[in-house]
Amino acid sequence: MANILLGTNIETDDEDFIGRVIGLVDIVEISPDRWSGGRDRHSRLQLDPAVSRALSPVGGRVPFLVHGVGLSIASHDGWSRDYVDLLDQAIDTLPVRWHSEHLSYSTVDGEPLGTMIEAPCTQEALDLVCARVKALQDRYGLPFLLENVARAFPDCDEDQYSWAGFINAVVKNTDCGILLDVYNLQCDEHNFALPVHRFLDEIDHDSVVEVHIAGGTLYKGFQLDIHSRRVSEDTLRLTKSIVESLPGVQAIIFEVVQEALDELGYDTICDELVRLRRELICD
Amino acid sequence: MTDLVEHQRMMMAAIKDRPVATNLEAIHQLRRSRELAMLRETMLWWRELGISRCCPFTTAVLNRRGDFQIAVAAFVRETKGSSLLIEQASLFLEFVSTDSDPLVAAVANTEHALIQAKGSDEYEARITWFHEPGAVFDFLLHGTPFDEGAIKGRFVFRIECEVPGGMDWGEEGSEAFETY
Repeated sequence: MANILLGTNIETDDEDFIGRVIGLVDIVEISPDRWSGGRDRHSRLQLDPAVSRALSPVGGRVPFLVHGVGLSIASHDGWSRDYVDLLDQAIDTLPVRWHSEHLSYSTVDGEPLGTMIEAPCTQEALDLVCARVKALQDRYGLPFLLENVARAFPDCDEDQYSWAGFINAVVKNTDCGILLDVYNLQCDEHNFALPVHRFLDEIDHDSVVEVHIAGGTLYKGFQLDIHSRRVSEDTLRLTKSIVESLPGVQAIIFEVVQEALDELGYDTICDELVRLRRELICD
Repeated sequence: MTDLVEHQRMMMAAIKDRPVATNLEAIHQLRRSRELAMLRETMLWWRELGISRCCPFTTAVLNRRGDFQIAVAAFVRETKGSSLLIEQASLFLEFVSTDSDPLVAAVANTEHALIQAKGSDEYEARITWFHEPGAVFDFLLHGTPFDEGAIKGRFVFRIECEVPGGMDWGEEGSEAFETY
């Protein structure tokens, strides 16, 4: 696994954090949604100028991955114009290897839900998602990956595909890649008895390009996909065994939400990156 | 079988706790489910977090009333909101600025005006307060307790670039203005 890049997400312009983390990673993930500024006179959302200032020390040392939260690729009425405006600017200004988004919808009729919900596994949703993936590939000429979002609901009677089968079908129709979030799979198993091994037996291993690893919390019996904790031993062990079976993985990203930075502390995040490199990269 | 449009509209109504007319048992089951309850709770928690960070004054005064979570839930149910934090903050402050409680309305109006003034050299606003703003700002900035009955009156809060510090206030009809 020596050729796999280790990275983390940067959602803050704190120079101390960026300076400490940058020496421990090979690649950096950013979410344009987290770096949005005001609108221009055409009402086009602008990347916050602080992004280029804060990330300038990073750009010369490691490449970027762009990972979206707000595209809403599976909304019936179209994707988020705001997110695409931000993505245009991010890809224009940063050395981006590939970009990715969650296989979900977060707006309906243009109205934000305030959360992400998995695309229903129907033929209609599949056709819609595939058309949008192709449009993104044409627009940017960069590899595009879709992530298995942590599910909000169990399988339903109307599903025409399994969750893994749905993702495989998107990959087959569009040649996009898969971003496998290991912790999200554990959430699905805990919350809805959707076995991780069944998903892994079915998912197209050759198409997994990136792996997300994170820690979360148990609340009212639910495993929440809030990426706010250290990686548990269980998640680490599972990730290690999964990565060994994925021939095309190029990067493993340790994800922590900005809101957890103060509570976790910078030392913990740095320690975690050292630990993950030792356990997963072994170079 | 529901199509994608219907599926997503039903889901939005369920998440935002809006009424929906349907005979589909699956939708009624969804609305009673523990999954939906958890989704709503985490969604509201994120909204509360975002709003409290962007609108600390209005959050503090609503918390003083014990109404912050109720206000956020009503905001989610009754408005479209925004996925962008700063736009969501503005919309929330607009929503709360019509509150029947004059203290909550004045603080929300003022915080909204301060956000708008931040991006403009020409922005001006005058807001009527029914409590002495200095005592309220002591509470908002330092947590200093105050007796609402003892600070009642009619005040004008000005946000103008001509004013030293950008803002001040005084009793209505008076020429004497104070700043913080």
